[in-house]
Amino acid sequence: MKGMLYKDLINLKQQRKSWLLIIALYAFISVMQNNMQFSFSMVAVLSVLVPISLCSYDERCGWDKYVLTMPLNRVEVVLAKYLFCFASLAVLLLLPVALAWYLGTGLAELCVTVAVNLLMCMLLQGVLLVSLFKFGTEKASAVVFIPIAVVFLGVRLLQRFSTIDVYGGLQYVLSAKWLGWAAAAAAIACYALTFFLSCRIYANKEF
Amino acid sequence: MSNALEIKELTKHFSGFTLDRLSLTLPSGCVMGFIGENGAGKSTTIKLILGLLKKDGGEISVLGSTLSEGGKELRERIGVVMDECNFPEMMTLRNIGKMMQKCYRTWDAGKFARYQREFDLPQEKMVKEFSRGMKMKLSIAAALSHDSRLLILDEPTSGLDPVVRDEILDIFLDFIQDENHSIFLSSHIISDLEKICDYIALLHRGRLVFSEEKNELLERYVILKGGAAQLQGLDPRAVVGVRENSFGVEALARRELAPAGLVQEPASLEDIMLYHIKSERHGIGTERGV
Repeated sequence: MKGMLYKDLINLKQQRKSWLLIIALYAFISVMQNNMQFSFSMVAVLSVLVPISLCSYDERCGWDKYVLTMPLNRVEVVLAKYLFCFASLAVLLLLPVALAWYLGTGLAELCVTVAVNLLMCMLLQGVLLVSLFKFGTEKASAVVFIPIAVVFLGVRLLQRFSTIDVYGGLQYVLSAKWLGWAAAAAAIACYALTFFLSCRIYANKEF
Repeated sequence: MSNALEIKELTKHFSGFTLDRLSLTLPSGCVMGFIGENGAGKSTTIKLILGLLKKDGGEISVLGSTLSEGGKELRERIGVVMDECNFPEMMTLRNIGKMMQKCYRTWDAGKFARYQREFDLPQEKMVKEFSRGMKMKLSIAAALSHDSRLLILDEPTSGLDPVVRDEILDIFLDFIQDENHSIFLSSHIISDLEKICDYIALLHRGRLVFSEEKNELLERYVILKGGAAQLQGLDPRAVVGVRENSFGVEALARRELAPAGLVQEPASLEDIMLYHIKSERHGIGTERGV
């Protein structure tokens, strides 16, 4: 499994200039606008781009088939992908945390924000990884935008046709003290669920 | 003598294609050439052997055990070369060496370095900058740099020039000097197989036509040449296939049943394959202008 992690790291390193450019751009805009949430949205974007990019490399050279001829079992292949993607997510989160600290955000608020964003990114990444193992890069890239579109459209519709104050509600929930722990627990549970689902899909996948 | 590969009644159904009860045996220390036209089921068979596809029926034993029984230990002893180089394009040989060392317990870095020098592979170039010949050599170097006892090769020489192909065949011949080593090789290039194989298995439309020792096969068949009238009187049991062209009629026939008086020429593996496939397609051995 270490070999798989090493391979993904090398693949990702080849695009380091593009990644750094995206990160720098988000950091710059966040500081200019004094908007911590904007830098968190970068993490969401990259948490999707990293798995797509890695799986796309694997598919293009036929690595996804070749790896199964090596002394690795299928669960290890899935686990390696999850570990790498989660590690990249954790590293990426350091930037908005540093920016938030720089912008003077309070610790309690920061913890809640990190937890909520982590939950969303893990949920997004988990759904994406399941789709990638099930459908491959091309279809999965489309599939992952379905939940995003549903949430976005749902919020828009609620705002337009009802008196429910979505953002006010979110703000209330975010201010609740228990939310950090609940979000972290939910994130781990969702991620674990998608991992088991991915293992199940990959165990039956034919090449 | 133990068997490196044993396949019994292997079956796999797809929509529009069935690999139908394939049985074949590759004894240890031997090279088997696996031939057949495009879509005959060669790659399907290799994928089934490697566990990339799930079989619908039958049994596969590799180096004495099934893939699930053998687990990682067995995978250490199988070297695989697909028809394309499957290493990430952004990697250099150094990266690949490091990665493989982390994947294979029996990885031999010294051996890999030796093959790199022998094959003249550039250390610092990325795989994407390699020529097709270099990519195949890299795949072969990787397959030989762990404790491989059985090489499974899917069209390893396709698209390569004769010089590189010859070099690669020499490597295989060198590998097979150890009597515990075996090679299962699928290829369209029959001349390559003629050079190195001990056994030939012919697959046609998902069914095994024959799996036999190459020398016996070449000994068994003969090409008969003559006029249409001369060949018409042949014993039907003797004839595998007939083809007619502007110079006369040729037939692939069983040597022991071939009548004297007709011009006889040795049959090549390509002749044997073509006549068998054409005769299977048409039910009997009559084919014009093959």
